Amino acid sequence: MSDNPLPASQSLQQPHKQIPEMELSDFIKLMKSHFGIGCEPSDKEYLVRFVSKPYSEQAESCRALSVMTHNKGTRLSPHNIKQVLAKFDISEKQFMEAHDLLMNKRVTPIRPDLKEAS
Amino acid sequence: METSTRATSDKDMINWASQLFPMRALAEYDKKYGFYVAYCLETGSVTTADDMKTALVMMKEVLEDEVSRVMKSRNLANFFSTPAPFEIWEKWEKFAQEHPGKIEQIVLDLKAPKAGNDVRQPAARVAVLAAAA
Repeated sequence: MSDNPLPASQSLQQPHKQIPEMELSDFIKLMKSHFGIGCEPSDKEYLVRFVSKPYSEQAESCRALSVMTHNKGTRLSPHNIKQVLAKFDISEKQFMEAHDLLMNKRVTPIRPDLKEAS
Repeated sequence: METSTRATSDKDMINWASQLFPMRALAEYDKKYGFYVAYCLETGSVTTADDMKTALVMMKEVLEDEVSRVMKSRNLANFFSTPAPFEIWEKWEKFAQEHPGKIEQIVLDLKAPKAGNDVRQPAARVAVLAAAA
């Protein structure tokens, strides 16, 4: 991680964007739909556990991870997201592509008559 | 092996966990994001908070959960699958050599596999090093 972010002109040339902070509910949805990673609650509401196939922790091939959320259990920091990606062997590029797909579904297209309205 | 391991009692499991997991955690201020981050070197667990103390309290809770679960699942392959990045290990070595007196010990309160949710027992220790902000 660099302490000196690139100037805006150069940041446009970066191969992919930085991992953002996310709403926990969005992250859970994304991990399940794109990567098949399940999420189960723990006995603490701000602690969640992500589990991969075969969804049985006794199985040696199963990967699972407890993650501490913040903002009263509603958000995940970029650091936590990176940890989840590392645990389940998902690249940041793969994740950001899935993230963009999820977010693009919510963006309202820019209307061509925007100028006229102003 | 399976039979002898499964024969381990809950009390033995707590003792077993105490010896098996000599873990270390490093907490530091992340200038880029503007908050504190704690990393467990061995498990790769990460917590973030607005202050150092909270990041370490959260780390204790995450590790208690992780170790309690591995005592039940016995899946060490998962537990140790993703250690912290190498740069965190390097930072630990550097800070530990420069400030050995700053290394503190925290004790995890572990939940025995067959015990109820509220039954916890002090067990595994974590060496904690809080790097200067």
